[in-house]
Amino acid sequence: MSVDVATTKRPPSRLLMLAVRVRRANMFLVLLFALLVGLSVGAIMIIVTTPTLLNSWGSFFSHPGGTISENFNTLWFAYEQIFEGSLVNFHALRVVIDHPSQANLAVVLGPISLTLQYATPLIVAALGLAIGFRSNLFDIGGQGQVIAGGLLAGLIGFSLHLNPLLQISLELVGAMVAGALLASVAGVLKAYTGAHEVIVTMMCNYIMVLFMGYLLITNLYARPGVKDGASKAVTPSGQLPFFFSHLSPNLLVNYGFVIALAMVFVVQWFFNRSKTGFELLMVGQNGEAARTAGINAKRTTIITLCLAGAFCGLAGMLELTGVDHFLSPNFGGSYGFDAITVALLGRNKPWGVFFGAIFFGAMYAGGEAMQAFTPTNIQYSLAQVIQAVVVFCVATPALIIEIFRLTDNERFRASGAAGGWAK
Amino acid sequence: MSTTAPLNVPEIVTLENLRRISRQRALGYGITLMIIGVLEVLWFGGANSSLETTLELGYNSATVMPSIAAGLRVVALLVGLVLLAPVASGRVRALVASRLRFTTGLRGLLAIVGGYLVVWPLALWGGVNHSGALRTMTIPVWTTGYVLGALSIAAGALLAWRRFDRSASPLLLTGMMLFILGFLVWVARGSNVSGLQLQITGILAAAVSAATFLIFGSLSGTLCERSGVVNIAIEGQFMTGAISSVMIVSAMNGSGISKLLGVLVAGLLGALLGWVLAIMSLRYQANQIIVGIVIVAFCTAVTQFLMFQVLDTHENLNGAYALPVWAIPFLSHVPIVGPVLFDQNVLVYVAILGVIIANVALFRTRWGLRVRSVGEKPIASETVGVSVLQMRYSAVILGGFIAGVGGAAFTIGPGTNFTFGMTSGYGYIALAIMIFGRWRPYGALMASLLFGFTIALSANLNIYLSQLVIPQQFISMLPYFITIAAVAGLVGRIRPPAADGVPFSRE
Amino acid sequence: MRLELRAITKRFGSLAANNDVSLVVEPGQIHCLLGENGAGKSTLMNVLYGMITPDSGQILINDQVVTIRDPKDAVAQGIGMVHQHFMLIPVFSVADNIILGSEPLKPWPFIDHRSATERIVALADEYNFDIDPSATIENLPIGQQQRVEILKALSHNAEILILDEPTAVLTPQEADALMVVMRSLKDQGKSIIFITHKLKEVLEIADVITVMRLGEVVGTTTPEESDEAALATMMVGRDVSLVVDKPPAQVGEVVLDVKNLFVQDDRGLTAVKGVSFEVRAGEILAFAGVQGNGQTELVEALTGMRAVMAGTMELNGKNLVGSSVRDVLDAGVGHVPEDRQRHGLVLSLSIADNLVLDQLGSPEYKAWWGRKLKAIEENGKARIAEYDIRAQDESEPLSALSGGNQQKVVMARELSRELKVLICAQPTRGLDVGSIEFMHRQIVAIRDEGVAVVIVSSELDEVVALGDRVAVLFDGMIQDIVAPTTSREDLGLLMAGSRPALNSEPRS
Repeated sequence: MSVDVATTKRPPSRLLMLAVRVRRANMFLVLLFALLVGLSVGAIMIIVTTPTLLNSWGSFFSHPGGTISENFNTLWFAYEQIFEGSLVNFHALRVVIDHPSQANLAVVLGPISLTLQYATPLIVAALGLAIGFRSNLFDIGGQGQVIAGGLLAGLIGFSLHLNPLLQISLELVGAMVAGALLASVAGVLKAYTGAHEVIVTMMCNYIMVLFMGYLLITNLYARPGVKDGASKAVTPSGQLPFFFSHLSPNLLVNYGFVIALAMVFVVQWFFNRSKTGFELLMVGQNGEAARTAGINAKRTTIITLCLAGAFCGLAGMLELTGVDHFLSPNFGGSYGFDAITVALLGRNKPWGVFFGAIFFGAMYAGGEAMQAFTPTNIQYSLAQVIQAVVVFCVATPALIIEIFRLTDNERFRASGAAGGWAK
Repeated sequence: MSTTAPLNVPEIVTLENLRRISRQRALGYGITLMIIGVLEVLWFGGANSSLETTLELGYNSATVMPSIAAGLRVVALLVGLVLLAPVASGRVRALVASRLRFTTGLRGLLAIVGGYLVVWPLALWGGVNHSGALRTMTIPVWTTGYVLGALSIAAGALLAWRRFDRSASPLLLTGMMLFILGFLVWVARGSNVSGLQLQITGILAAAVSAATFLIFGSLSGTLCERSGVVNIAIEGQFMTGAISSVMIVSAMNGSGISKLLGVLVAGLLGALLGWVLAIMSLRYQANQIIVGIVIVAFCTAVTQFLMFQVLDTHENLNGAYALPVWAIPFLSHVPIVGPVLFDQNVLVYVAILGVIIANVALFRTRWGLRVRSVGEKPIASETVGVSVLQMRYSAVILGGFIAGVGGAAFTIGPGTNFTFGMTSGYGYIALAIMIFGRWRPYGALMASLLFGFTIALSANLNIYLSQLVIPQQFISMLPYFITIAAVAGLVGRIRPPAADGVPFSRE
Repeated sequence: MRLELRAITKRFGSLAANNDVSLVVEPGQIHCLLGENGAGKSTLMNVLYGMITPDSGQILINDQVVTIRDPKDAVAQGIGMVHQHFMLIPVFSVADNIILGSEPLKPWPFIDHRSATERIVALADEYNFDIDPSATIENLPIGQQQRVEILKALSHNAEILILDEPTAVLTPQEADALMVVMRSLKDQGKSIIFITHKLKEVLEIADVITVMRLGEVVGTTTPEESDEAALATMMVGRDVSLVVDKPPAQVGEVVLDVKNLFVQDDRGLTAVKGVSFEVRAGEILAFAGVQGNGQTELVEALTGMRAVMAGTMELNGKNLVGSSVRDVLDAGVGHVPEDRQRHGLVLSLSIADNLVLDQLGSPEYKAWWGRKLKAIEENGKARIAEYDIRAQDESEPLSALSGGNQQKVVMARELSRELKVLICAQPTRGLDVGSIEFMHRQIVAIRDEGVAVVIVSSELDEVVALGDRVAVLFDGMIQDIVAPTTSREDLGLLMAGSRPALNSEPRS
């Protein structure tokens, strides 16, 4: 029995050990706290910008309960709308359980489908940027490259009437080439003149927006008889088919999501297994050593940016042929920055990017629901504020670690020099 | 064991190499100038001889050159010639040299003042005055083309032949500016009939106005990077400054004190963002570019939210209140330069003053020496007791303040209301300008003016749309293309502060 | 001023850089701190100078306990330090460098440049330094830069001067000049702590010698009571033979033939000016010379990393000029770079990955579907065993290894390829004696396999010990190629750019 006593005499620190382990910073904890901080900042923004809530604080000392409950109810309702608008609507869920029918199922699936639809191009674009980030190249020209991809895919899309498979493949290749070509400008300049890619790609964004603005009023692109800057529509054979169109025309998830998923695997292979992917990593970690080991850093820089551009171009094609089917002057909108932030959120790992993009998609879908359903019409851009704060916390985990007194973990030390401008 | 004696090879004279390269450059620039000249002759000179262009030299009574009596004109002319004499002739300089030291600055000043005193009476005699004041001037298009072309070809030929290295860049720059002037004259052809005068002063004034936020932005970038921190968040500081200043001023109905407050708050919020950048990159040693980008993303989201949530519903919070415009007496009457430089809103003067102060602060004061040392080799500064972090904090926060004030130059400077996305990438352009200006305040000022000109140009050519061969969108791309060219180092290789963007830790 | 360090302990992780170190420096004394690389000398001095906070221990000045939290405190206490890597800002003028941190002000906040310059000139006169306060640091030769550093410390009224490996970058003649300066400082009553691992210098100048090993003081002695052999034994803990055990070279065909090579440095100045040499199979050609005389550029040119302005390089008759780094490596050139952490390795990657860093494309490690992770892993295991690399396993990141083991990884990687020429730049810099011996054995072994070896080193001992022939570089030119038996004085003169009458060597 003495043996049993010895074994049952557990170290008293078991619970403590658990607590210590829980406090160790890991991705999950950091994300959780980041979300908490994000929602808190969002809450402050709502309170500050909603007059009724702001006024309620005037009576805080006389009726603290009333103030708190009023504020809490508004916030809760807003965040509930975000959740229900992006994932699942509980009311609809009850309805479909009570009355199972295709139409009701479609209503339940609506929010998720919207989320995935928003997420699809983001996944691809952010994967592309993650390739660059791993090599310490900050391609912030996502917007321009998305536009480039969209422009060429659109041209192929509305001027051809081919077999759908062939036409979609053509669009896909065209978009990737267009995006890569645009990004290669930054790559070549970076490699041969040392021009910093952040500035070059940013400038390319503005140039592409203007260029698209020009194209959309030319006969080549403009929809005949319309002067609002909308382009011709992609022919049906060039559109990505929807998955669940038989359920409801509102379910907008299309085969683009499959392409995006495939790209996650491709990038994962690229990072882990391919020679070029490894070289990219090397150049990013220690460019000098890469050069000494016979890796052509210039070539790698150009390839990296081209790949990033190709993915962004593909995102443009997915957006165009999957959702809108025509170009408008604000096509590509905030992709540049969203893709960067998603890549940062996913810490440049393919699956991290995947879920990061879905989180962003959810915030968009939910944000729209919130704007539509809250009494004061809280603007959907609140979702972007929350996103930005979350990304901020994830990009600098040291902050979260310090605020929430987590134990430090080497892995989460933010890394690296930003590098100068000229080289 | 065998030994090999080194071959007796004469050493390569590196200075000679340098000379050869710079002489090649002079040749290249000269040929470029000649091509520009030929282009001017063929393009602008080829215009129909009946076409004329009316240049507008001043746009209100505060900015036109007053007409003066014939006697005074003679006096002005003579005084001008006397002032110009020492600039032009070394012999005269030697005569006066016992009393005065002729620095470059003094020569420049004499050239400018003397030049005006000569041109002014000549212009009045030449009959280009309009209702008693020098307001407009009408010139034939084809002559302009021929004159500019001939000048350009001559200068280019001289440059290519004699290979003046030191004057190559300024000459080419002047040639390009004249080419653009010729282009403008050509674009506005027929304006003596159509009434669409070429508002050359208007464009230049808009250029200075546009340059204002670029000056603030590039100054901010210069300060931060001199201390070794890359401030890519300038765009975000612009947005914040722009929206906060307009909200403050509007909330207080544009009273005088509110404008001061608006500018201050804009600066303080910018400083706050700078502080965040500093904390993140200095204390937590995060990647400065990532932190900067995320700050911009955050500012974009917040301003968008405020715009749609608050300003769209409370339009009284987004009013068009302008800072006061100060016309500096006497100077504002000088044609072209007067309205452009001396009839501007307060922020323009603040910006130029800021450049001067920053230059003195960086290169003459203790703080500046320490900031620069920290940006070059922080470990060396640390060993002599200079606190690297303290210096970097101060520079980044100050830089943030400046960029925030620059944000105010978008809205309450010219007096427009805030629109989402109005900063349209100028924060990044400011960084390119900083590089263009070689991390020096005066360089930033000059480069900002150049960029401001391209921005104003692309914005002001719209009125001649019918006569333009290039679609308006392409002209609007001009500043962005020039930015790319600038960072691509077409201006020559430049050396950034050595520790730029490198986090510092002592151990 | 009397300085005492009492029981200083500093740990980095599990490694004790300083363990219970005590030291007394009397006024007007030249105190030598002798020890190998990694013995903890620099750590101790950085503790004294406030750059590193010790875990425990006290610092006493004139028998008063003082706290030194940062360099500012140290300077205030009268401690000055001349770092091994100069703490000068290359683009600043001499005057700006000296006044930085204690700038004289005419009305605040403006710097009074005039009085600063006057003070510097006065100070320079006092110590017989010939220095132009307005010169820019990066245009000054190394010896001058060092004087600026010393002047900087003196301008802060330093009573104790720490010189951290000051002779490492100097020619023997410049080092002699430094000795004179040190003596004159001593005569003025300053104390000097002189850190070095060169025994001869110690015996020449020291009043007291403290020897450190593995973070501890092993003994204190004086030059009178000691000699080179005794000090060396104290320093490394056992008898060392700095002579490399190598059989005579079996020289074969000319493998690497370099003629009239001109190379520019980063600033566009000609750094290698017409270098010609040939290396035969089975011999070691060692390049001696003070750092910054074109060695770095020469090696980079040989390995294809730097463009060649003029001249030819042939490997077995095949032209190498204009080839990419990849082509040069594929042609059979092995390269052990000067700065292993910056050029040789990617510290965040695993050992296994680092062992194939320049062989990513070889069919052994790559197939059509991607990298063969298994093969890479097995190669890692094999090399770790073969080269006795001290690591947990092959997946450990390289940053976890010690300097010696990191260098072994580089060497293992280069030697695992089919080589014709091996180019080693500073192959043993910063390594402990054991690792140095290991490296030397490897280099001799590869030579005996018939590979042509080029060594570039600023350690004269190493050059003489390893080289079958010694080429001396000065100002980008080969002064002469001599036998390793040439006397040190003559080598020193060659390194300083003057040509002694070498009657022992026939010259063509």
